[in-house]
Parts: sequence; C-alpha cells; structure tokens
Amino acid sequence: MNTEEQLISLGKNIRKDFPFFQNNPNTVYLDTAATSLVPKDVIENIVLYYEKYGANVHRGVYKASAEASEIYENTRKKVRDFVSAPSDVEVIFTKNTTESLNLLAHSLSSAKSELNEFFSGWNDGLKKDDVILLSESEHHSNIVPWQIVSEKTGASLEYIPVIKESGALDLAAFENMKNRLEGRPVKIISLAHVSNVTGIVYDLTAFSQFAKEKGAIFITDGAQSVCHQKLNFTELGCDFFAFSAHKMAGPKGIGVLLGKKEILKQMPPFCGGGDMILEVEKAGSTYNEPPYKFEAGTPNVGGVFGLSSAIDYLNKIGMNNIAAWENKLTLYAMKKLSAINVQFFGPSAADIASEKFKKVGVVSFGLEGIHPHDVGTMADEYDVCIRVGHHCCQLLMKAWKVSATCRASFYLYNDFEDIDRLTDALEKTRQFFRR
Amino acid sequence: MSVNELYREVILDHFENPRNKGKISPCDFHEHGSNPLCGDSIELYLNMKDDKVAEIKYEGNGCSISQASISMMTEIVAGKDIAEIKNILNLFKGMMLEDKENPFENDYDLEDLGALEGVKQYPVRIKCALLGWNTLQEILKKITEK
Repeated sequence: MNTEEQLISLGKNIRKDFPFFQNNPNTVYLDTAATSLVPKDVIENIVLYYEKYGANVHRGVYKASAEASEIYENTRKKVRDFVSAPSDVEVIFTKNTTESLNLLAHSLSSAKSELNEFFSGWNDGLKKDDVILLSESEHHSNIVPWQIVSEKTGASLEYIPVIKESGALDLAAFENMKNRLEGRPVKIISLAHVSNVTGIVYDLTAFSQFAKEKGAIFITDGAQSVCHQKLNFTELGCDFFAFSAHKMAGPKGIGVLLGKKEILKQMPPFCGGGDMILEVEKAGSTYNEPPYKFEAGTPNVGGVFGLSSAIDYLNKIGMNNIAAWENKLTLYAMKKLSAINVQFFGPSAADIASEKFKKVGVVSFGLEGIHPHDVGTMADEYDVCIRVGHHCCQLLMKAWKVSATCRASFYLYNDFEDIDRLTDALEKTRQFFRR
Repeated sequence: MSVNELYREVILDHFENPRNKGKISPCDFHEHGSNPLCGDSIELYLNMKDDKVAEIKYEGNGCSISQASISMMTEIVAGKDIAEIKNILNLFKGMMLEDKENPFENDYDLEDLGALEGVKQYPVRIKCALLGWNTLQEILKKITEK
C-alpha cells in the first residue's frame, strides 16, 4: 500500500487498469458522478467469488462458505479503516446509498425512547410536529425517504435554502432558520457532504453542532464524498454515514451504512428475513445483533468482494493523490469552460481558484439557448459522455429556475485532453445550433 | 447514425422559429405536460369552434426535439376535427413507438412530421418528441368526455 503518497500523474497513466477504455478507446467518460468505471482488479475479484467460493455467507458449515464469510466480514474492517472510523462504528452492507438512507428513515421513524440515551431530543419515534431538517441541494434519495416517513408520522420537513449564485447552502439563512426552529423538536438532520450537482464539499460543523444542541440525529450522505477524498468519520461529526461502492470504482448493487453499534442496537429492523433473526416463534422473533439485524436475506457477497477490491485499488493509488489530480483537472476545466463562456451552475471559476469553496471534480454548466439534452446528444456524437438533466436534484433546479443542466465529472482516469475534447464538442454544438 | 438525421433542417427551423407559442386566456381546454426524465414541462391551450380546433398555443421550454415536435403539432391540428386529429396522433405514435414506417411521406400537409422519425434511433429522446402529443391526447380525452 502506498502510504507515503507522492503526487503522481494519473489519467492516461492508469487507463490500462480500466477495461472500459480498451473496449471504448475513443470515448471520453465524464460521468463518474453518476457512476464510476471499474478497474480490472475489482471485476476479477467479483469473478473470483463466483468461480472459487460461490457459497452463501453465514450459513454453510463447509469450507467454501466459511472462507467467503471471512472475506465478507473482513471487508467491514476494511471499510471502517477506509473512512478512519473507530472500532465501535458498525458497517452495514446495503444495496446503495439510497437504501442506506431508506433504512435510516424507516427504522428511525419507529425507534423507541431507548435512543434518548444517545440523543437527548429523542423520545418515541417520529410524531406530528417533529422536524426533519434537509436542504434544497439534496439528491432525491435524501428527500423522498423522509417525505415517505413524514407522510406516515406527520413529522414536518424543513429545507435549508441555497444561495442561488453558487448553489451553496446558505449559512446566513440557516442562522435565521435556527431562530425559527427555537423550541421546536428537531429530531433528524440529514445532509450530503458533497453536492452531486455543484461538487461543493461542505464544512458540516455548523450543522453537526446544531444537531448536538438539539439532541438530534445527524446523518451524512457521502455518495459523492467518499470517492474523491480521504475522509475521517469522526471529523465529519455525523452519527450515520452512507455511501455506494459504484461511485468509487466498485460494482453496482452494494453500499454501506456506518453508525455506532450501540445506537444501531436500539433501532428496529428495516427488512425482515433470514440472517437477521436469533429465534423465530409463531408469536414473534428476536433479532440478531447489528450489523446482521439490518442485513436480511442473502446479501450481495460478490458485491462485497468487489467493494473490498475497490478500496484496495483506491488505497494503492492513494486518496490524496486522487484528490490532488482531480483538483488539477477541475481547475483546468473551469478555466477552459470559462474561456468559451459557458454558464456555470455552481461556484464560479474565480470562487474555486480563490478557494472560497472546496470542490470535487463535478462541474455543472449550460450553453445559452441550447437545451442540455441537445448538448448531451451532440457531445455523444463526439464520443464525450456527460450527464444532462436534473441530476435527481429537482429542488436545486427549481431554485435556479431551470429544468436541467449539463454536468461533467472527473475521476482518476480522466486527463486534461478529455476536457479539451469536451470544450471542442461544446463549440461544435454551438455551431450546429447556430447559437 | 449521425446527428444530422436526428436534427433535420425542418426540426431546427421549428426550434428556431417556434409556431403558436404563447398563452390563450381564457381558453376552452388547458393541460400541463411533463417529462420526468429531463424535467421539461409545457402548458397546452386549445379552443374549439364548430367541432374543430380553432386555436392552439403552447408555453414552456424544452429541448429542440420536444419544441419542434410541439410546434409542428400545433400547425397540423389547427382547423382539424377530433377524428382527424386522433388519426394523425395514432399514426405519429405508431411511427415513434411501434417501429412502423413513416406514414407521412407523400402527404403534403403532414410530411414535416416524418422528420421526427430519426429520433427513433435515439431511444432516450423519443419521450421528448412525444411530450406535446401526449399532452394533446389528454385534452382530446377531455373533449370527448364533455
């Protein structure tokens, strides 16, 4: 493992690790924020599981099952180490960030007063007038689960507004909001660490501090965060942290929820079935300990093998290396895109250069007079893959009064010439539409 | 497949010079249409006179395909009766969704619609071409129910 990370050039130098580029040699892939490409090591480790082990975990008395179970369980520690989480933090395997957040929303909505030991504002489940605090820049996966439980429980949702120009959370408005919420039972605060539209990395201190004052639960959606930088679970100040493997060089269908084991013990299960019980009687069942209590049914063992290998791969390259490389690409992209006068949705090039905002390799933009869908189709004509649409962030789109934007996102396998290809495609798009 | 077959000249023309854009107020019929994939939405307004479409207008923004398709649609349905419009709508949806050949080829009045056939090669964009027509279909339902 490369612990003494020296800054190295990534991009072209590591493309050989990603079979996608052998199959699509002329394609510029700028849609990692939707899903990342997967290195050969990860694919091979998934294949290894199916070819060598094949067996289910936690159920077989035979060697293949025991060995698969050991790798599955060891991956929990690997995940914990990857985000520098202490040993009392449990790792639950889910389908993805969305499922992790749904698990929390549904389980917490009926979590009993035992949680009061950890959160002084908690009494008995979610009820009418309880407040769940989100923001306008959240992904739909951190809005809709809360809307579903609010419909069931009567709890109300409040949204921290964004500053229109930058798309950043409006801290001044949040201060006013705090006054407005004075005396109201704020039970849960759930916010993304990094915006999937603007790429802004938030300092969550003010929100975790507010959660502490309110005795509320603080949840961080790390889907766009964990893939781009070295994280420290404790420094994030959250009680729960959710992310997906498929945005960090891993496979689809496997995600993670991190949270303190003692807290998880007091939460009701989200899904019932095999492996999550101790004893089943006609009248009811007793539940297994976390993490098993939250992993009903046969899990995605191959996915866990893939996640394990993805972490090894990212560690080998070094998360600080990845962050530094991405930062160079982002600065270059902002400069090149500014030069052709695109409309930025999110921080300006000057804001990024002056470090007013910390940002990962995600840039949203538009071309005046041309709809993002037309831009996306034209970019594809030149084999440049970008995302166009609302990015599952319709509240943010509405704040900007647009229906869609274009988004380019960068990862370790992108290089400066990819950005040149993007800006060339954008200029050709303008010529085509005579704008 | 080239973008020139998707973005035919007639489509670009309607995109640049949309016909019948605006609001009718008050109007006999109004319907909201949206495409959840891209978040685009339109408002369609329609007035009837003597069982024929007397006036049709639309508001909203969208991609060139959706806007050109709506613009063409408004030109075509103005002055026609419900049966004629239903027939064109079925022919158009058949071409777009059921892999039927362009039925508008030698029809002077409708041949522009054939330009949208290229959209079929871009499956994610078919919904764009149908946005206006699906909204019109909702209005037709209201008219027949009335």
